[in-house]
Amino acid sequence: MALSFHRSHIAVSIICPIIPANVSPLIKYLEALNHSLHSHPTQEHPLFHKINTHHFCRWTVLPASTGKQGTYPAQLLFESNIDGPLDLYLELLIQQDRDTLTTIYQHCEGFNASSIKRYLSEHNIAAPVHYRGAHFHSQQQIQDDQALYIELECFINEKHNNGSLINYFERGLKEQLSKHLKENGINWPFETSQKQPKSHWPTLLGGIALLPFIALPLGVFISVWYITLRKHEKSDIPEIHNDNMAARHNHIRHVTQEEQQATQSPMTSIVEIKPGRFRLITLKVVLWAINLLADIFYNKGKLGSINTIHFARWLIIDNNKRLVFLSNYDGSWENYLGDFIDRAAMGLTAIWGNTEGFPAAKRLLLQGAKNDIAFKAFARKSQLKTHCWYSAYPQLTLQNVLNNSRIRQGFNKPMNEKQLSKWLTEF
Amino acid sequence: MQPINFSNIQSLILYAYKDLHHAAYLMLHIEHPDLFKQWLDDNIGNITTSNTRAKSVALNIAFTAPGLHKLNLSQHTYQQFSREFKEGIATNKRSQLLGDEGNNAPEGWNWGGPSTPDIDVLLLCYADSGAALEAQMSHITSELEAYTTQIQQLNTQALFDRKEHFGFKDGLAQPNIAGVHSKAEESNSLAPGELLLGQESGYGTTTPFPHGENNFSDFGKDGSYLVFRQLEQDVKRFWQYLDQQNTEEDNKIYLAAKMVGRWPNGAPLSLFPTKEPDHLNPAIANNFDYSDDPQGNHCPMASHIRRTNPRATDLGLSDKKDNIASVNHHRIMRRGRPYGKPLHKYLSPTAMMKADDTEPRGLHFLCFNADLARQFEFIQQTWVNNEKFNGLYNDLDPLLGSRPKERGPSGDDFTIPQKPMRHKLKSIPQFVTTKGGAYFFMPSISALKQLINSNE
Repeated sequence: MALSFHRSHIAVSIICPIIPANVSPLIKYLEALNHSLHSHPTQEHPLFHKINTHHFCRWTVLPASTGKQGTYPAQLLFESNIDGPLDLYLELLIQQDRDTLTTIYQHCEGFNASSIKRYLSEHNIAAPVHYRGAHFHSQQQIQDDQALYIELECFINEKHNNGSLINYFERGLKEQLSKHLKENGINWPFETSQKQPKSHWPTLLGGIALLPFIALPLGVFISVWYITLRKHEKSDIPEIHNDNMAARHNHIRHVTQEEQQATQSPMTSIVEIKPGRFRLITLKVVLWAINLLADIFYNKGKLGSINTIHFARWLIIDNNKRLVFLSNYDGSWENYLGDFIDRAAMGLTAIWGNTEGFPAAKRLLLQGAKNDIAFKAFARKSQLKTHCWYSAYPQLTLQNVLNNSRIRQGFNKPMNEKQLSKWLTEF
Repeated sequence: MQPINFSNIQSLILYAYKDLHHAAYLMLHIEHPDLFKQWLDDNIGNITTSNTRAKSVALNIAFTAPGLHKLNLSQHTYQQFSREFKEGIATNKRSQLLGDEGNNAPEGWNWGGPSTPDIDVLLLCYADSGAALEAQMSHITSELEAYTTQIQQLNTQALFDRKEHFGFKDGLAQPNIAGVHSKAEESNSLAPGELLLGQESGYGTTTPFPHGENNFSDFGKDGSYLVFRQLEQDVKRFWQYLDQQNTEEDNKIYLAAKMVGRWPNGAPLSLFPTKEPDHLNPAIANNFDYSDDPQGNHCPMASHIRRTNPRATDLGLSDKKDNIASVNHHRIMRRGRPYGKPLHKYLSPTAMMKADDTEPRGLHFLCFNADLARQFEFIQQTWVNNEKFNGLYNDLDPLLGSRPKERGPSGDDFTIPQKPMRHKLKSIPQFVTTKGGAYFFMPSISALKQLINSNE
């Protein structure tokens, strides 16, 4: 079992138009499904609990709406974060619960129950940014690591209570813990090696080596782009958010009903991209750069210094007209948004600055999200209710996941005194 | 930064009236709004403002959202109050976030719940003697009798050596407001907009304040949101739980200190990790942070004072200054006072372990803040009522946590980091129960005048 642990996570984003008359029945159905998942957490649902290769998934309806650039039909969005590959995952979903899938997708345009798999894979779109908190940790591994943590926790508590653990020195403690596992036939932690996130520095350095050759055209391009950007930024009229406070507060009440019930929460948000090619291209380049940064630098459980995101992604939909943000995060919404402002304002401003209603930005990166009041108003306004949401490990924060992993890795790794001391504080 | 208009601000927001040892709170339902306005007009000179020092008595006033509505505040201005204030503290969603579930649920509250009468007005009365307080209270109640219904009178009880009922010195760590409190150390100094509406906040933006159409009036400016919660403390249960831990006498107090983060005399564990000092120099009681104790070997991560104000705890930000700034977006100005007879006159832990009575006692928790969601509710939801705080697994606030939780992990562990391995207290019962609560707004003097003259 140890060897199957090192899959890289894949983002599934399946978007299908809904037959207009079916929108409210579909929402009702998804909400009932959601209710049954969360009100009876011990009852296993074949579509969710029986699959050990997905981490978080959601079905949610993006309602029909009219924006500045036109009207958008109601669409069903399925998000999943899987241990890959997509083909196998779709087969597994169908095999586990063809009935539920058929019931859901019968509400959608062009669905044919005899070819579910083809329908789903045809409607899957690429995510320009897919952020993962715990790189190379499969769902099964995260579950096993937690079981290991619990096993050791009980052992340590028991030893503490009868006073027999205190007497050991640090080396002795590790031996004691190892011995306990082996005596109970738990050998896999000693055999598992954790794949570490790759460093993409060589590629990047290669890119830098090319710079002298492309510096001139690049410089010209960036100058033109920058001048155009400043022109756009100065002429954009930022939206005034306190137009109708009663309506705003009602919207928040609606979207927060299911939020922050427990350790983790989903967030679904959708906004229109500012019109014109310039904003779209800038947005796409920024998303590409952020995805690259997430792979190179932010691959150890922190996005910037935010350590509460299990998975997040941005999607561009509706013929390049709208930007979707999906996230699975720990803790409170206030904390999450506060972290956005304190820890990731520049990156978020660079992205959302290209969309309608975002507080005015300067030079792509500045102001914007730093305007806390307007940014939170923007975030709430663009937020949608998530109709059905599932987590495979609802009681674990990302920090728990990574801590459990460090504990497990410690059993398969020689340590010096300092490392050992640190490791023992992780229990 | 705009100057502070002291004569327009009700004094309790900025000052605690430490010399006025006697206090009581009156919660009223307005029967005749016009007559109540008349009373307010006649008495507006008696409201204590922050440009004078209250010597013998003080009086302050605050309103719930229904109260403001009843006094004909314009709909436009009313709508701009924060969602949290308008909805009130006792909605289902808010109860879930704040931990007001199970024993703490508003259904069982003495006041402020769904089955108790609506509160419109809160009068906060302070005096330097019991007799002066009584005189003030009877004067006010006799005047107001005809046009209000009294819902609650809540009394307070100053305890020995400024302690709270569990026996620990309280109120040692308050933020300082720039331009108001002079002794401000930078790490403990807040922008005025963290406390007062319409002032610049810690983010450098102006804290939103309700105003009239076309900015005609600045109703909310210089006011502050007031959270009031009646927190009943089961002191007997607290000390009995510690008494049951199979350790020596001294060690029981040590475990209690680990839960609180301070020794009974207020000395912080961060500075005195092993033993309570005989004397605590007040100058150092609040002069410490956690930057040299990342694992919590001195002051546990899960302890009460560390999670309600993590100071320079590494919350994932690289820089100490950034961590402090991030924490300081979530501070409150506490104005609470204990109520009920203490379990032991001098709050001696040894005596309290053996003492036995069932008289109700606790804390009337009051605090001011400018953004309920970002300050009070954040602390309660993200730090106190969160068993996962900063990497923990199952540790709610050891004092305030409502255990066991209805959803998710039970939350009833308390982890004490130590060398070479942590110690864990398990199955901690609930020690504190919410018995009442409401969100109020304490307006400025000019806003009170606007209310008196509003007749829509």
